Amino acid sequence: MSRHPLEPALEAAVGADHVLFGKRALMQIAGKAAGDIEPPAPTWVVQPASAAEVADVLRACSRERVMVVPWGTGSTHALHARDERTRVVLDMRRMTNVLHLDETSLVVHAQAGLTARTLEELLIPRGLTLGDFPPAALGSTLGGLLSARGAGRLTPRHGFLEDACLGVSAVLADGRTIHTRVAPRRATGPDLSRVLMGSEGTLGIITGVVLRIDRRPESRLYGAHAFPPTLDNPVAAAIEAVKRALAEDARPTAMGVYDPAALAAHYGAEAVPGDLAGGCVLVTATAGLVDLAAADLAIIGDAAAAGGAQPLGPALAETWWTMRARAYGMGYAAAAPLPPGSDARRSALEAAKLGGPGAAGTLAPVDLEVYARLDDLPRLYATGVAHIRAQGAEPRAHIGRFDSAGGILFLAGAPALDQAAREKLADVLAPLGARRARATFGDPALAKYLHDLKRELDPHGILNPDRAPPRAEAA
Amino acid sequence: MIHPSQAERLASACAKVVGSARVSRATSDRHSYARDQWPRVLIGMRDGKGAPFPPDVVAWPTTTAEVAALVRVARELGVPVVPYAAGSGVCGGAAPIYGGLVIDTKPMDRILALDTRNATVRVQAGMNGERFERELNRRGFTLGHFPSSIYCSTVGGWLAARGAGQMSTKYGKIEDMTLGLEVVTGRGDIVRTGVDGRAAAGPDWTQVFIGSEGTLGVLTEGTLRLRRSPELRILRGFELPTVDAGMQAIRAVMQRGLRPAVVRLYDPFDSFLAMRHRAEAAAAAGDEGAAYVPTPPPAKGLAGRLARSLASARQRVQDTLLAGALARPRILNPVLDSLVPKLARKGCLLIVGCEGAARRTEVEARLTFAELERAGGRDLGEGPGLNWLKKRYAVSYRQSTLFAAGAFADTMEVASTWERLPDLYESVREAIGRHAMVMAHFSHAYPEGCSIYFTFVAHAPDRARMERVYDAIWSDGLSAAARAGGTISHHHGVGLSKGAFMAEEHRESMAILRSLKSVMDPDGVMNPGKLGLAAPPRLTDVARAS
Amino acid sequence: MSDSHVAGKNDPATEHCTYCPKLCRHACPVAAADTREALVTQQKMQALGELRVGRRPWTEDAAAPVYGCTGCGLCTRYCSHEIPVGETLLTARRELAAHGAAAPVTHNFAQRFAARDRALVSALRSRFTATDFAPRGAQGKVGFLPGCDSCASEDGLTDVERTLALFRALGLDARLVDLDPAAGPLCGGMPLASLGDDVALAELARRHAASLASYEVVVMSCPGCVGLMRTRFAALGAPLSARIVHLTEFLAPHTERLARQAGTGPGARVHYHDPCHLGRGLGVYEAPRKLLAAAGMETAEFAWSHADSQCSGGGGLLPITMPETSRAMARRRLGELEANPDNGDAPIRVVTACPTCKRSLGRAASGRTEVEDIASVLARALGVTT
Ligand SMILES: Cc1cc2nc3c(=O)[nH]c(=O)nc-3n(C[C@H](O)[C@H](O)[C@H](O)COP(=O)(O)OP(=O)(O)OC[C@H]3O[C@@H](n4cnc5c(N)ncnc54)[C@H](O)[C@@H]3O)c2cc1C
Ligand code: SF4
Ligand code: SF4
Repeated sequence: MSRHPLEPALEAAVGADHVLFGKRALMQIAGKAAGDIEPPAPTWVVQPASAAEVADVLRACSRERVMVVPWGTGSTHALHARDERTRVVLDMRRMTNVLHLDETSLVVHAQAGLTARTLEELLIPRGLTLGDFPPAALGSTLGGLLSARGAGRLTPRHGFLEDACLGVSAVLADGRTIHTRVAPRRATGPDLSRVLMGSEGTLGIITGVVLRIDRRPESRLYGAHAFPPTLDNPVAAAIEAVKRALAEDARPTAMGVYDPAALAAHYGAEAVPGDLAGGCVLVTATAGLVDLAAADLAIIGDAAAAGGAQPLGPALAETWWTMRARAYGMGYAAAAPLPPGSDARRSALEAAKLGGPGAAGTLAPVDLEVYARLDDLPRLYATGVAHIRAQGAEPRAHIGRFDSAGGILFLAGAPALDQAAREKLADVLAPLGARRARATFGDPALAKYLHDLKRELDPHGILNPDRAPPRAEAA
Repeated sequence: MIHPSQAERLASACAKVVGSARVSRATSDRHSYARDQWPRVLIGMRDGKGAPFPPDVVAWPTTTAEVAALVRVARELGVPVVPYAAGSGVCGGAAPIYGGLVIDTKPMDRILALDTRNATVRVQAGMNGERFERELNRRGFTLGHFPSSIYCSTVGGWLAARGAGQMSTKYGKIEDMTLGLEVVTGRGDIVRTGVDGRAAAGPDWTQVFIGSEGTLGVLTEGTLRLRRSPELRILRGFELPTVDAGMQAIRAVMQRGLRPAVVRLYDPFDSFLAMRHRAEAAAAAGDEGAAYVPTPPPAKGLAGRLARSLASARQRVQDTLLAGALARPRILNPVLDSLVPKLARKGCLLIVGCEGAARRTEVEARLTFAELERAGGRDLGEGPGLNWLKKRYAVSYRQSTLFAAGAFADTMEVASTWERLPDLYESVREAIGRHAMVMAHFSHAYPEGCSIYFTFVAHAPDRARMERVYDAIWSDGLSAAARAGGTISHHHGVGLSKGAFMAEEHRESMAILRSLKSVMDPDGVMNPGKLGLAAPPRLTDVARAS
Repeated sequence: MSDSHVAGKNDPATEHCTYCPKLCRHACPVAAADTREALVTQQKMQALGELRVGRRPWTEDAAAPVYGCTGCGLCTRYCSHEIPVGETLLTARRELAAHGAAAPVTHNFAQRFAARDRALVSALRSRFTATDFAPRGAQGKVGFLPGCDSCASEDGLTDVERTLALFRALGLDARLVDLDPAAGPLCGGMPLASLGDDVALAELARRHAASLASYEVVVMSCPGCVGLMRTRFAALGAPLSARIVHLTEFLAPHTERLARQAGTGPGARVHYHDPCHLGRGLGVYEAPRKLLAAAGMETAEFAWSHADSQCSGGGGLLPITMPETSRAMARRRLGELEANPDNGDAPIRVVTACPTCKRSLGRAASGRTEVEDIASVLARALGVTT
C-alpha cells in the first residue's frame, strides 16, 4: 500500500513519533477497557504539542479533505467511526503545559490537553484550586470539558465551568489560529469564545483555555437534614428548601437530595438514618470564610427546618463529601480547606495521604441523568422511581448540582437498567421537563444557523463531523 | 440615505405590515431618530447639526411577528435596518448612518410573564429600565441592574450592548442574568435561545446575541433571572491612601468570596469631586426639592437660577480653573495629581455596599468592611455610602450644563485582570490626559479583575478643533487600553465610535464574528457599519451625504 | 415670558434639555403611551429650542411635538435642573400660533372656548334650581364652581348634584356660584393656559374677578384651574379676592365628621388616581385618601402614584391635539390595574378628584373598570341619594 499523501504532512507537522496509524493506534490510546475498535477507513492518531502543530495538521487535513476528530480522555465513543471517511484522531494529551499562572488575578492559561486533575495537582500546593467542588469529570481534559456545554462543575458557589472560562485559543479548519482575549467581562460584541465552547470541536479545535481559579477555602462546614416520610412529599419539601435557601442568597459549595436507597447504595447502609423509608435527606457543604460558611449553613438549615426536616448533624454530609471526593479522585479538595496562616504545601501533602488524586473509591453507578427545572424535579423523581419499580427493579435516586434554575436528577435501578430500559425511562420523563445533556441543539429554528456557521468556518466539513448538527434538523 | 423612490416603496411596504399610523416619513420623526447619545454628535449640535443621520422611514411594530415581517421587507429591498430603543447608547450604535429603516422597539414594552416561584421574568425588549425595575419591586423582586441610564434606556438596549449596572459586582452584568432571548434574525426568522438551557448542545446562542448591537438581528424579548428585593442594604465609605492600595483592597474582598453589591474606588481627582458633592449635598440637606408648580413659576427664581448656573459653568469653562485644565491638560493633570489630594486632604474614596437577604448580608458586610480595613482602609461611616446612593444617577445631569457651557465630556470604560490593571490605569490615563482633564473610578469588580471608568472633559475654540481633540482622545485612549492588555469596552459597547478598534480587540477572532454576521444577516442589512464589521464610513462623508 | 425668547437666542431651559441624555424619559406619560421619539420630553424641548433659534422652520410638522405634552409635571420631578417643561411647552404654543405653525385643531380656540363655556353655564343653570345657587349679593359666602368637564355630560352633572348633596349632608353651606346665565364664566381657563393664550386668559381672569367678588371662598373640583387661579390671575392683572380651594382641601377639615356619619361601611376597595394638578400641582395627596378611608373605603395604589402619578391623558389639550395618544395614555393607566394579578378578575373601581381625569379615564374604561368622582363616592357612602 502506498503511503497516503497526508502522512508526510502529518509527520512534518508533529514529528514522525507522534503520528500513529490504524487500529493499533486507536487501541493504544483508548486503553484495554475500550474493547475492539475497528476503523473502517484509514485512521491516524496524531499527537500535537502546540497550537502551531495543530494548525499544521489542520491545514494538511483541510487540503486532503480528511476528517479530524479531537480526542482528550473522553469517552472512547468518539473513536468509533460512523462512516468510512479517512480520518485523523487528534490526541490532545501532549498539550499539557500551563502557559501562565496569574496568582494575582487568580487566572490560569493552560493548554487544552491538560486534565482538570493534573491542573488541580499543580494548584493545590499553591493554595489554589479549580473550585472547592471540582468537576466530576476531573480526569477529562480542559478542552474536552469546555467544548461541551454544561459539563464540569456546577455549584451555587462556583457556577459552571464554562462561566469560569475567560477565553479560549483555538485553531479553525483552515489552520487559522484564534485567541479570544482575556478580560473579566467585555462589551465588544458577541461572546466569541462561547461560540467555540459549546461546539464540541465542530467549529474549531480548542487548544488552550483561560480559567478563573480560586483560593482554597479557609473552612468547610457540613450539614444534613432528614425529610421524614410523614411529610406530604418529602422530596418536594427538600427541593423547596433548596430553593428557599438559594433565594436567601446562600452560596453553598454543594447540596444533594438523596432517597434512602441511593444513600445506602452510595455510602453504605449505615449512612441511612433510621425510619427514612419513603423520605429523603438533604446534605450540604458550605465553604469559604468561616462566618460566611456558617451563615450559609444556617440559612440552609432553617430552610430545611421550615420544610419540616429534622437536623441530623454533620457526620452524614461529611461522609457524603469525602466518599464522593475520593471516588472522583479529588482527595485534596475533599480533605483540605486551608485555614489562614497554614502552609499550603504541607496541608496538601497531608491531604494527599488522606486520599489524593488516584485514591479512588467507588460510588454506585447511575443509569440516567437528566437536567430539570427545580419545580419539575419532584414530579420527575416520583415518576422516575415509579417507572423503575414497575420495570421490576429496585429504584434509587438523588438530585444534585443545583443552581437557582434547576438541578440534575440521577436515577438508577437494582439490577441496573439496560440501554433499552434507560431510553424508555428517558422517554417517559421527557414530557415532564427532563432534558438529557446535549440531546438537542435547542430551538430547531436555530439549527440551520448552526449548520451555516459550520459551513462558514469549516467549508469542507472536516471537523468532528459526528457531532455536527444533523442535517435533518438543519433542514 | 436611500433613494427617495426606494424610501417610498419601503414606507408603503412597512405600512402593509404595521398599518400606516405606525410608519412615518415625516421630517420631525426622522430627525428625532437621527442620533443617539454619542457625545461627538452633541459637539456638532451647537452649530445646529443636531440631526446628522436621519433614517428614511421609521416604524413602530407592536409584535415580534411584525418585527420579523419588517426585517424581511427591508431585506427584500436591500435597505439598512437599525433597531432603535431609547437611543441612550454613547457610541453611535443606534445612529442610522446609512439611512434606511429604523425599527423602534419601544412599543413592545410589556412584562409577558413574571414567574414568582422561580424568580424569572419574560419581558419585551422595549421595556424602559426604571419602569421595569419598579414593577418588579412592587412584586417583591429586583433585577439588580442599575445602569446610570436606567431612566433612559431599555432592556433590549442593555442586552444589545452588554450593559452593566452599578451593582453588577453582586448581580452580574446583563449577560450574567439572561436565561434566554427571542430574536428576529437578519434573515427575518424568529428564533429562541436558551431553550433546554445548559442541556442543549451547540454554541450558547444567548451569549452570541447579547452584545450584537443590532448587527445580527432584533432582540424582541428576554428571559431574565430575578432576585428578591433586598431586605437589607448596608453602605459605607472608606478612605484608601492610594489608588494602588484601593485596587488591592477590592481584589482582596473579591478573592475572599465576598460579593458586595457596590464597589467604587475613585481616583484622587474623582474622589475630590465626590467629596465636594457630598459637602454640597450636606449643605443642601433639608431642602426637599421644590414642589412642582403648574402655572407660572418661579419665573425669576428657577429660570434665573438655571441661567446663572449655566453662566457660571460657562465662566468656569472659559476662563477659570477648568480653562487651565482644558487648554493645557498635559500640564494640568500632573498639577492636579499633586494638588488634589492635598486640597481634599484625603486619599481615595471607596464606596462599598452589601445588600440582599438580611442574614447573609449582615455577615457579608461585616467581613467585607473588615477586609477593607485590613487592606489599609479608614472607615468613614455610612454617610458617603448613603450619599452615593441618593445621588447615584445625578452625575448624568451634569452633561447638559457642560455641553451648554461650551465644553464636552465623555467616558471611557475599560477592563482587565488585576495583574494588568495598574498598567491599564496609568497608560489610559496618560493617553487621555494628553488632551483632556481626566479622572477615573474603579467599579464593577470581579475576582479576576475590574473595570475602570474614565471621565474626561475638554474644550477647544471651535467645533472642528473640538472634534479633532475628541477623536484624538479616543484613538490614543483605546490604543493604550489595547496595548496594556485591557478590553476597549466593559459595558458601553462598540457602536460606531469604537469600530476601528475591534480588530485590535479581537484580532484573529474577528473571523468568527464575521462568520456569525454572514450567517445571521447574509445581506448585511442589520445596522450596517457598526461593531467594526464593515469599515465605518468616514464620518465627514456620511455627514455630508445626509 | 415668551417675549424674552428673541429669535437666535436660546433660553437655558431648552438648552439644558437639548444636551440632556433624555434622563426623564421614564417619567413622561405621553412618551410612554406613544413611543414616537419626537414626543420624548427632551426632543420636545429640543424642537422648541430649534424653532426659536431658527434651526427648524416654523411649520406644523416641525412644531407638532410641542403639542405632545399634558403639562403633568412629572418630568420636572426627575430633572435635577428642575426644568419646568410642562409650563414651558404649554406657554410656547402661543409662539407657534404667532408663527403660523399652530396645529389646525387649535385655530380659533379662544372663541370656541368661550362658546363652550357659555353653553356649559346654561346647561348648569337649567339642570339646577335656584336654591342650589348661592344667594346673590350676600357677602362672605362659600361658592362651588364645578369643573367645566363636569358640566359637559349628564354623568358629570350628576357628580355636581351629588357634591352639593354631600355638602348638605355634612352641614356645609356651600352652593353653586351664582353664574351670570349669559356670561359665566365657568371654567378657570386651564384650556386657554394650555395654549399659552395669555390674552384670552387675562380677559377671562378679569371676568372671574368680577363674578367671584362677593365670595370669601370658592371651592372648585378642577385642581388645574385652582392652581391657575391662585397663582396666575394676579400676574395677569386680575387678583381674586376669594380664596380658591380644591374640593378635597375644602372637605379635609370635615374628615372626622364624615367618618362618624358614614359609620363602618362594607370596606369597598378603590384605586385612587392622583390628578397631576392636585398632587404635584397643589401638593394634596393625603386629604383625598383620608376622606375615602373615613367613608370606609380601602384605598389601593397604582404602581405610579402620589408624586409619581401618571397623567390620565386629559391635560394640555391633548385630547384635542392628539386624541389617539390621549386615549392610549388613559388605557395604559387603567391597563396597569387590569393586568395586576392582585386584582384577579374582580371589578376595578378607580376614584379621582378631577373632572378632567374622570372624563379621560372614563372614556378608556372597559366593562370591568368603573371610574368615579370622589365627591360622588363620598356622598353615596353617606347614603345620600339624588
Ligand atoms: C447618562 C448615561 C449613563 C449611562 N450609564 C450606563 C451604565 O451605567 N451602564 C451601561 O451599561 N450603559 C450605560 N450607558 C449607555 C447606554 O445607556 C447603554 O448602552 C444602554 O444599554 C443602551 O440602551 P438603549 O435602550 O438606550 O439602546 P439604544 O441606545 O437605542 O441602542 C444601543 C444599541 O443596541 C441596538 N439595539 C437596541 N435595542 C435593540 C434590540 N431590541 N435588538 C437589537 N439591537 C438593539 C441599537 O441598534 C444600538 O446599536 C449610559 C448612557 C448614558 C447616556
Ligand atoms: S427636563 Fe431635565 S431631565 Fe428632562 S430632558 Fe430636560 S434637562 Fe433632561
Ligand atoms: S410635563 Fe408631563 S407630559 Fe409634559 S413633557 Fe413633562 S412628563 Fe411629559
